[in-house]
Amino acid sequence: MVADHGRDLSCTVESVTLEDPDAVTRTEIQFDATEDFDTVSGRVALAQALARRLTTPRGDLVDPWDEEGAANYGIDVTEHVNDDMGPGDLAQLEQRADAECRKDERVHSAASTATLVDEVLTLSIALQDAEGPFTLTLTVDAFGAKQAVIS
Amino acid sequence: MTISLSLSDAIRLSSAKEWGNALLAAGKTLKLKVTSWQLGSVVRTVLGVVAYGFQAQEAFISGIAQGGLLRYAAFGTITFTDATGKVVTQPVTPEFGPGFLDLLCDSNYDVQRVDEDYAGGVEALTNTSGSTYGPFAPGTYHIANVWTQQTYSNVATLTIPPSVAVDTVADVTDVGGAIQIETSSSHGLTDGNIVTIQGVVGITALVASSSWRVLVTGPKTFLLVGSTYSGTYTSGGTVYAPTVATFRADTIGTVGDSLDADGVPNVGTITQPVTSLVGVKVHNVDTFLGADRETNAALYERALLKLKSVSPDGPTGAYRYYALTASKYAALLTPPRILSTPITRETTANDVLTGTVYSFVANQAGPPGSDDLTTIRMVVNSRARPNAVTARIVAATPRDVAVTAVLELPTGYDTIENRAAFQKAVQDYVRTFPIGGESDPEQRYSNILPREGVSGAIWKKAQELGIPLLNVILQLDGREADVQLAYDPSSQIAEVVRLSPAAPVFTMVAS
Repeated sequence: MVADHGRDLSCTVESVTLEDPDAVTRTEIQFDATEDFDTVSGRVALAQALARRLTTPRGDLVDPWDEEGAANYGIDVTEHVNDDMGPGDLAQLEQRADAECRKDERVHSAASTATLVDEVLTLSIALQDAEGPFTLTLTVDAFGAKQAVIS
Repeated sequence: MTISLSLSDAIRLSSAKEWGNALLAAGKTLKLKVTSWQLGSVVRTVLGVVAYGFQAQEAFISGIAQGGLLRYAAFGTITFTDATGKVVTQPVTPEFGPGFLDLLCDSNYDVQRVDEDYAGGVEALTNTSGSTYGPFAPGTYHIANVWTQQTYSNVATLTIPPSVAVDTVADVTDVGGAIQIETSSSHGLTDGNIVTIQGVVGITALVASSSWRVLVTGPKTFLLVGSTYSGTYTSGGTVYAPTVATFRADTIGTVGDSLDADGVPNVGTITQPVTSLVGVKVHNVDTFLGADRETNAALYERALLKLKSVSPDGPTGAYRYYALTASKYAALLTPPRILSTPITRETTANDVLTGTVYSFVANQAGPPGSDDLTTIRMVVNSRARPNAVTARIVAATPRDVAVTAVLELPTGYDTIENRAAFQKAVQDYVRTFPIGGESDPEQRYSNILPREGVSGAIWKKAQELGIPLLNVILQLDGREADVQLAYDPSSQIAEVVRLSPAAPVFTMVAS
């Protein structure tokens, strides 16, 4: 079954299909508006929406239809890059990321695993949507560059 | 029957949500290929940002629209919700401007806001040392008012040489209540010269070094202008020719007025050298008066008066308009004149028996000086007075009123800062209180300074500052009652309230 995640403008410069070592198709997305206003749908649209949620500082979103919801939208995991985070901090970040993902009605469940290695934060989120399970891996490096991979 | 519209009847501002819905409807019409509408989705967020932008633009357009309507330009506000959800209310024209009101008044009425000005005037500097001091560059030699501690500085380059001793004092006498100095020999002075008197024993006004303009009464005698004789001359005294220079307050506005101990603008109050020099004494021989910038309400009123002033019948508004705008029209007289302090209050009375029009005038501090009064008379007579009508411009009569109060506040609010705020509230109220006081249209009272009005200024300030004021026990001239003001145009009397002391005496009680 293919879930209807709706259609939205794409945040990507381009969607690139890559071959991973295990020969499983994956899609890389980057968070820049496209010049030709491409649209996306399906899990890519959902993945982009979640990635934006996890990289938007709380309170930065504006939305005249749901001002209260906008005020409670987002956490910015990029704030944690370069931090000397301990296991407790990472666990707390995982909980916050899970809660933030579950705010999207298309997400049935979310369980994150955060690691910080050489000032690169990797957030691997096991998600369940109407279509089934998939993983979104969000990587934030020391320069703030963001990369998300769904698999 | 008439129909009175308010601006909200003609214009309704849309909320950001309404703008967003309109944009969304347009998107549907244009077959926008987007079906994802979750919070934070790209198109939803873009439309939301545009909606907030449109709302802000509409608010700005509302300001422009209001700016073209006099009352709204003066008192209107713009309210909108910003992108953070905060409701923001802004005046169309900020108080004291500049803004749309200034543009409208200038372009449609040829009326310009009266600007704030520095208090200033002539200062005598008497140097009894043998040294020459200076030159001091403009703004570098400082003096102060002994009562208010406001500071002043020289307008032009200043050098203070030793002051020449004109003569010694032979006698001091009482001439019509004023002080007359008799010198030992011919003094050589002329009317208007400024002298400093030092070392006189027995005359109250001359105990300390003081400087005066003179009115020559003989080769060896002259009067000290504005002096009051008190005491009995015993001995001593030297007449000096001081250095005379123009000084200006370091702070703009009426805050720089040369107030005395009673809070009344006066001479002989700026006598404290801040730049300390051995043997130099200073003394203001002019009353220094500054001016505050005109309020939106006052500018609005003058714009309306301007319309009345163009009538050939010379209605009340014409006298009022030209008196209140005399500072502008004085420069257009032949020869041009300068009004030292803008007129901020005017009351017109018409004697229906004789046809005489009385226009009582006052500035922010009280009655204008004689030179200013002459200037206003010339302006009004040349601009507002129709032929064959007598218009008399009369200085309002000062009415000193003592304001005292006990203010009850919760513990912690009985602070010096709060007391100062309440004192300023009353001072501001009195500063704009009309000549001749307030009268009830139903004639239950007339020509009063209402006690409720004064206490109302205190309560209003407490509300503005969020101070939980509990009670105000207010007295005017020692009584819990209104103050009656004299107002008799045919006798050329119309009183204007002046605080004495200038700062109301407030006792703060914590409870």
